[in-house]
Amino acid sequence: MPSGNAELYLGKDIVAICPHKYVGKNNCAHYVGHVLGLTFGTLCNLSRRVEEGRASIRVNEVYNALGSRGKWANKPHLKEGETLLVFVTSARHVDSNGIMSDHPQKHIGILSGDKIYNYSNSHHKVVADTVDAFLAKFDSIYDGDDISLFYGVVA
Amino acid sequence: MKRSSFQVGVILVLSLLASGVEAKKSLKANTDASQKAVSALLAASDEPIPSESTCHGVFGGEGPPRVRDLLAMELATFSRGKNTLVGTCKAGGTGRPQACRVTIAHEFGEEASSAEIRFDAIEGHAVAASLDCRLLP
Repeated sequence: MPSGNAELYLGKDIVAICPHKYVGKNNCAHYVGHVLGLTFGTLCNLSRRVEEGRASIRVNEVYNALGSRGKWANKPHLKEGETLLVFVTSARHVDSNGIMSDHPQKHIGILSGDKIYNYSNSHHKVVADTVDAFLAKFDSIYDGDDISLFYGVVA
Repeated sequence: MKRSSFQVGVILVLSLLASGVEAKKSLKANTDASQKAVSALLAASDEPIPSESTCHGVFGGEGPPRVRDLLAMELATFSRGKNTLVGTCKAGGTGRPQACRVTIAHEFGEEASSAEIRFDAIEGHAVAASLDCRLLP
């Protein structure tokens, strides 16, 4: 059941979040998918034994499905009921048409207050980072000197 | 028949050794199977990935995405970190293609990714139309 509340899962393992107990190699989009009830592209519970409660698991499929998305500097003011997603990847992995590629180096989180709630794949739990710390964390491990933030609005 | 403590000890040690051998066997990678599955996939490396396939995507190559573009993108992550590549092909029966799967996984701190690529293979050649992927993230 999507709660829409990113903070609710702080410190939790994806096993405690996904009703199907699906655990992928990278659960960043999976966590966001369950919190917001997103069903874009590939969904968890790949065996499809139960359809209810399945959620998105891929970063680019979420990003590319959003009508309002773009560079972080251009993020809009949110309207009532909207949620701002934060994506991090190399600027080269988002083309001139605003399509994010399948490149493995990408991550996603939910902005709530002044923190980005996101799933740590090395600590196996939801963590909260400031925007600067979030960017710095991935800038330090992703290839290239153009690691950038992008936004996406979920209505 | 009552066993002496020595006999019980010997049985216990032998049991532990046996279970250890089994554990080691189960951890052994089957490189022959992986080689065959990867070889079948490489045989189709220049073929375009059908647009309706779950493997279709944007992999940084020129033109329509090909199998090799997908493989190159995933394997390029292997320059560092903890990486695994495992492949299998199961016989499909008389006149039927083999059912194959290649799984590529990578971990380097917060950077984690995986690609599970399933496909049919005929005479050691992956059938592009059968490609089915689970890519993360």
